[in-house]
Amino acid sequence: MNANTDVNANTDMSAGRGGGSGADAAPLAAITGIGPVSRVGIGVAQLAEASLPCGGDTGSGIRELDNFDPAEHLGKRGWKFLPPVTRAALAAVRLALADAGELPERSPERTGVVIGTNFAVSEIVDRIDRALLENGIPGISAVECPNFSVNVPASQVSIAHRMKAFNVTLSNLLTAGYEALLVGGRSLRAGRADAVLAGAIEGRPPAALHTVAGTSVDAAGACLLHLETPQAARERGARVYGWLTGGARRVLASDAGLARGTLVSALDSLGDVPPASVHLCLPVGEAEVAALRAEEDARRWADGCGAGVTVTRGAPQATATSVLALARHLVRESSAAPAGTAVAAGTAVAAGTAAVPHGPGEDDAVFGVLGPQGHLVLLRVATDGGAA
Amino acid sequence: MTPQIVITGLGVVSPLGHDLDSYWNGLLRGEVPVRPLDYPGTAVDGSLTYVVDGAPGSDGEIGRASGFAVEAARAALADAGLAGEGAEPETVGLCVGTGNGDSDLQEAERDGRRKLTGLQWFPYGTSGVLARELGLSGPATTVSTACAAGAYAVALGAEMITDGEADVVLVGGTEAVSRPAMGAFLRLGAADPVHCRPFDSDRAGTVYGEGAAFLVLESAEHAAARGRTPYAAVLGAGWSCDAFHVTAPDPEGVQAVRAAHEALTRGGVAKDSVGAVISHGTGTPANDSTESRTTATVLGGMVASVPVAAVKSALGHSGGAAGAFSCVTAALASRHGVLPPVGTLDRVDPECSLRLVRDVPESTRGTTLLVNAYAFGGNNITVAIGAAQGPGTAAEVRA
Repeated sequence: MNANTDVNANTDMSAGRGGGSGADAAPLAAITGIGPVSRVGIGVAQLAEASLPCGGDTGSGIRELDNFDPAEHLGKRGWKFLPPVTRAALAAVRLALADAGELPERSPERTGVVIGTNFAVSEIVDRIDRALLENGIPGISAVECPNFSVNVPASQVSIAHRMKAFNVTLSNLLTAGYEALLVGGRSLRAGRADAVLAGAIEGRPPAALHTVAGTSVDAAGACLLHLETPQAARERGARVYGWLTGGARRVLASDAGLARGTLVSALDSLGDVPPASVHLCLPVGEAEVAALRAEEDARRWADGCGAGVTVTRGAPQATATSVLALARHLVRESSAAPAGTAVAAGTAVAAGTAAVPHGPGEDDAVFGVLGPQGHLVLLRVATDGGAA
Repeated sequence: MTPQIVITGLGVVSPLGHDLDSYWNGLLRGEVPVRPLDYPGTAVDGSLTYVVDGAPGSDGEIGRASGFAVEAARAALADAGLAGEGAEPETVGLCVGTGNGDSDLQEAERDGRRKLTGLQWFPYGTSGVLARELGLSGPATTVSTACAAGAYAVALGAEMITDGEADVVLVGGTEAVSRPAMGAFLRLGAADPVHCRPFDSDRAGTVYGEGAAFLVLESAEHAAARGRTPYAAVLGAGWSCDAFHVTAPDPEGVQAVRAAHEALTRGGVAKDSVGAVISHGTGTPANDSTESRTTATVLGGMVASVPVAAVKSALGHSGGAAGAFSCVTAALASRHGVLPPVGTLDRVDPECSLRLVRDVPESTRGTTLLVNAYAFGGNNITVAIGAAQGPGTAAEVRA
């Protein structure tokens, strides 16, 4: 792309490889709202209380989203012909927007949507194909036809809330949720929007998901975050859960030595100042060998810089698991933070302040997710709000 | 300063052939290689389709879409002079657009032709397959913004470079015949029984196509250091969403126009430099009538002089690959200075005021080409592709 772009862009391109270091670059985005709709919890209060980020139920099979009543969140009408995944997505948006507090009146063209999903339409595509096999073209439900396309649930979010800046669906296995957050943050920095709803949604997965995600998986779920430009968040005095300051994406090779080098370089790329903690979401089952190796390499790297490590094993909510884990961490940090360390709602901070929003590394965390194909996504998030 | 992103390699697997000469010459001749689909025992058998012969790139362990992608990506790397070279694996990124991915493997399981192993049950694994097959470990993403995915892959891949995430990025799209997707189109009555007839009065829907198109992107500086002469530059991309209807475009077309204007603004190019448009042109009544109006709005007083192509007449609608095919076509058109004809055009829709290229190729009028791609959900994108500037480029040679 060319340099002389002037589309409301924050043109801080000082970041190194990785797209923005954690401590020395302006944040990509402020995370100001969280909307979880999952067996883990619905809404931030339940999410904060969740014992494990990915549910923690034992057993096997596909668990229904039986703690979710669409009418409670979407009203009595307008959702009954929508697939379960879309209902969850629409509720997640409402929760995230409500959690973000009072928002300024924005042009519809200034809010975008980036959603990661693996299985938003898997069940529907399966049903269409089986109907075709059984009864030919007339056997396919005309009402269901448009829903064969995996981007349709995300599109329903834009349609319902008139979010016109852009609408992007990403689909890498287990990692697309974090990718959506990174792409959302970068889109804000590029001036494509002032706010983005970003995260993950999932529909009923195929049974084979067990082979990489664990013995029991969820039939549906969503977790969407409300991202804003740092300036927009400061101008309205928003409560900021955390600042997305950078990220990195790689693919780890099957060769152990190559994978180690790639993982370390990705972690190193997130800034000269090491984070306080590293939180990993890793696949299990057939992907477990590579996951354990990555965990060991990450622990060694973290030990070297004094960072703590936590690990979420398995992905019962597929690509939404990692987003739920990040969201749960932020909600808990927010509720535990002493007064004055977070930008409280209604506390105006000088507009346009470009200062780094935190002490380097003090409360920085790296959130990482590894997919069964080796996709690795790392996000760096500062959680001590606008203390500076 | 943000670097200029240039295109230095192209590769295709297409109904016109699997090398650039066959592809480009087929487009220039206005070929229409549509034929009945061979899918025995199913309701889509015999449906008119723009088919790729066989399963290039696939040994049966990966789906056809991933196979197409491997083949086209390898060709693009070779075209860029990067095949077998020692580019650092971590510095090469991947950005793949697809709508249905490797649907064929699951279809074979459903009708009892095969059992699935490993990760074959997951249809969107192409970027992982490419990373493994090509030995790459840089950023790798998959975008599934339906029929706009291939163009979004180009834009997101360009941003991998401007964001400092990679030095070189393989971008593109891939799509293979998907039985459930074709079934849905047929059920909706959205398929033309003759062939794909963009902007024709008698158009009656789109026609399914398949294939893969990949481009190698890098910064102009990086290309110059390797002594490569780019085809063209990716100048900028405008994104928008109608937020209007799941399947139908907003007939007002406000957001489609905004995407085009934003592509020009981000590209830093003036509207009067637009010398050609590669339309989305699906052959559906709604898309083509809306796109006729929005493109005319964008072109303004230049509408009678700027040629417009519609390559789905030759390729069919390859869904998530379509936007990437259009970007490959724009790169070739930029290099050769001509736009291919719409081979199926008989009677232009009287409500369409665009200067559609018909019968024979037509010269481009300016240095910037606009590539449109639109999709289910009202997802719009326009990519501005134009002459590369700087060392070793045609622009410098002319100067």
